[in-house]
Amino acid sequence: MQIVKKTWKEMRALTLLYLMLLSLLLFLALIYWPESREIFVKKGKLYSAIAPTDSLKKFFWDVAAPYAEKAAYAAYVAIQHFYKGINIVGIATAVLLGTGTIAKERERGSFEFLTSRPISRDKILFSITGVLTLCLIVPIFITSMAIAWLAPISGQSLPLHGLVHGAIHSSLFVELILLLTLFFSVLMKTQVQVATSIGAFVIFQVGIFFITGVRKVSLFKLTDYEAYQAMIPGNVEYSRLFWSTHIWLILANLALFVATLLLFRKRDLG
Amino acid sequence: MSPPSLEVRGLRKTFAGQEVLCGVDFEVREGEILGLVGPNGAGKTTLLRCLVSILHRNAGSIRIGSIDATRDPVGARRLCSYLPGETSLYDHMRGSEMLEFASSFYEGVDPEIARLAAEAFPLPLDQKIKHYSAGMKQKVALRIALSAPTPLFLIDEPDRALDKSSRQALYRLLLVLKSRGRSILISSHHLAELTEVADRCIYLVHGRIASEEQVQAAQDRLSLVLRARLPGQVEELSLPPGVRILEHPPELHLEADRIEDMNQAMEVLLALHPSSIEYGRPSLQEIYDELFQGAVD
Repeated sequence: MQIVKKTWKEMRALTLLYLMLLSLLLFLALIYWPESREIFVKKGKLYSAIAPTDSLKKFFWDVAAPYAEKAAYAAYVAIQHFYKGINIVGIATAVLLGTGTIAKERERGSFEFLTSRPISRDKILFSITGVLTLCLIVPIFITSMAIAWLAPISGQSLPLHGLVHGAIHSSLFVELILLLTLFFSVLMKTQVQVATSIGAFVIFQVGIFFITGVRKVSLFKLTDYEAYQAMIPGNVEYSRLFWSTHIWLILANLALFVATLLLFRKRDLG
Repeated sequence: MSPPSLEVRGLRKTFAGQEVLCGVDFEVREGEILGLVGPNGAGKTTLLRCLVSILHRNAGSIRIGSIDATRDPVGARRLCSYLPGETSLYDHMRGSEMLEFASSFYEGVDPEIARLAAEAFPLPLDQKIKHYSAGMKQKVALRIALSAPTPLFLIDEPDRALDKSSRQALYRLLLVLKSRGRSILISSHHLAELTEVADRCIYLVHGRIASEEQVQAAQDRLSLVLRARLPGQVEELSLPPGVRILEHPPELHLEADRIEDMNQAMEVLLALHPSSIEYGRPSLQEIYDELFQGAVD
């Protein structure tokens, strides 16, 4: 429990900043929805023609075409909050949270103090990962739920269950980045090494996402606009979503955590 | 006879193919202060880190009290308090928070020792640790390590960054712990002070503990040096042929290869009524230097 408290104290400022940033981006996106809608409707076809990816073409086409406004709003929220906001701010926060604990402590030497206490390494890792996971996903759920409350300001509405599905999906994705960062933190000795490695990995994944032929193998294919466009309006049953996508994300997260745990047990941490 | 507080047998540790500890054997008895001596890079810190399982051993066994530390490292750590060589605390915590955080891993603190440690190492506990000097940080680390209610203490260079009075307070506190039956393994470079508190010392040479025979041989070699202050000038000294004069009277400094020669020289000198004569056991520093001739420092 003492490690949980300590980790939360160390990470609460970053978590608060992350929550504020997500909220601000979401708020700005939602209040500018009417303006955006007009622009999209007028220029939808043009954007659709020049959009670099199929998913973006599809988005512009969906909005520009004479579809129901509700679907357009859901698509707008999907791209603004889940595709853009969480994919950028969430991933950056996952890396900062991941490097700010184990790697930082190893670098400054305080990990020697912690690992020489009568507490198992498993408990240390469980405590740290648990706190970081909550720091990362609670703001996602808070802001995603807030959409249902904020949408009526623009005269729109979105079903809560669709937003929950989106929040679960994006949480599982950013958790993957967090666990990958923790794995690198155990493997490497300095924050710079960890940040460089995870940064290179993310940049490579983003890079191949924009190459049509290999996009399907990019990790970001899991969280592109197409992944959210059906989820957010609430048109997909969760059991279908769970067995088609979320189960694999959960298994990948578990596998990464187990790999980190095994490495953490064996590693010399002095 | 009670079992040792710490028993290490055949401990080996390799880093990137290089063996740092090559089969270390020793034990710390109950209520004993054991000094661990060796030059920089000898493996003292590696040894202590292996004892608390921060580093994993390649071979050998470690027993703390009745617990096999290699099988139950958490149980073993409950019986020992470790002071890392490089003080690294949480800078964002206040001194009082750091003490509370550290004590929460054990069943509280030994109240009497905590009181004595607070007197020995007074600190502004309401300040954040990032505002502390190196010496103050070391005092926090010492208060944490020495107040733990454990039967064994593993202390790596506790006198680092401490002034002389704090060092003396530290060694007094170690003697209090010893008087209460606690066992202490202490690594230090302040050999003169270590000599005063340690019941015995072990010497880590090239990853191995020097055997008693090696230490005895070093002591014997060092025993053949004699210093004496003679009153006035001495015209001629009739010393045995095996004795060499390194410095002439009145500050006489002799060296010999055989103990018999030096004993004869001693008889000659005693007849001259020297005002002082030094011909005793070599100091820890001298044994250390003798054992580590040629070693990295």
